[in-house]
Parts: sequence; C-alpha cells; structure tokens
Amino acid sequence: MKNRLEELRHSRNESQEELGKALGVSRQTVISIEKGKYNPSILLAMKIGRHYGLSIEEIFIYEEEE
Amino acid sequence: MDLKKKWMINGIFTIALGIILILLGVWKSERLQSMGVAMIFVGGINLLRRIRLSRNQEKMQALETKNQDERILFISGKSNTWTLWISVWVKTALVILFAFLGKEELSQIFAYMVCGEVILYIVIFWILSKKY
Repeated sequence: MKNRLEELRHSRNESQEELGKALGVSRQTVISIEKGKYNPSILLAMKIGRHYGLSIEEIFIYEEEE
Repeated sequence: MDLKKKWMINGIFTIALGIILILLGVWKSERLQSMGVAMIFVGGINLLRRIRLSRNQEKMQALETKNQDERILFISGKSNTWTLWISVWVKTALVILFAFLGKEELSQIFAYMVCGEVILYIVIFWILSKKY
C-alpha cells in the first residue's frame, strides 16, 4: 500500500518527531509508514486522516496485487 | 495498561517470586535460595531505577508512547511467533538427538516440553479467537 504521508508532512513543515507526538506513536513508526514498510491500523490511519483533515483514501492508496 | 502500573506489577511479581524461591531454597535447595536473592536484587534495582525515571515527565512521555506504539506491538507479536517456532523446532531436534544418543529420559523430557508448548499455543489461540 502506498501513501502520501511524507508529502503531507512536508507540506505542513512538520518533522517526523512532531507528527509522531501528535499521533501518539514513535518517530520510527512514522518513518516505517512513510517508507511503506508498515501499514498502520485503521485507528492510526483515521488519526492521520483527522490530523491532515483528509479521508483515509486520500492518504493511503490501495493497490490490488496482480 | 499504564506504564507505571505495569512496572509496579512487574517489580512486585519479581520480588514476590524471589521471596518464594528463598523460602523454597531454605526448605529444599541452596541453588533456589541464591536464585531468589538474585531475583529480589534485580527486581529491587529495577524498581528503584524506574521510580527515578518516573520523576522525569519528558522521558516518561516518550516511554509511554513507545509502550503503546502499535508498530512495536506488531513487531513484538511477530517476534513471539518466531521465538515459539524456533524453540519448538530446536526442542524437536533435541528429542531426536537425545533419542539417537540413547538418552531416552532427556529425549522424553523435551518431547513433553514440545507437546506442552504446542497444546498451550492451541489453547491460547482458541481463547483469543473467541475474544476477537
């Protein structure tokens, strides 16, 4: 699953640390999500959506496996 | 669970286990007694270290976040599964090895351990599947 988290974070001039604090997760978790190594839970995805005022679908792009 | 509460329960549990081991040691074996002393020592030091840490608000906040971080919990779950599988396969190998070497008693002990672990896994899985 791809996501626009890094792009959104940059648009707000936020650091990974700051975003992590706002979401209640560690900086490493933010890094892993941005790199696409870790898919967040629905709860965390909703928190991210609420943080940026966007829906989950606008941030996370689900790609069907071929 | 709140981190402070978790630390407190861990500390009390370790110290209580240490006391039980000392009492068992007095009754049966000196080795248990020294294990009990070591446990109380480690439990006590850990508890003191954590009490000191809990006075630092910033560090506590960071630790709370880490404690509830979903990625850490996810990794911890994966790590538990891997540990169980490796442990079961190593023990199964030991069952075969000891049987091959003619040490049947040891082989049997490890066989019981493997069976116990697998049954425990199935029981826990069943309980959790009822809950979720």
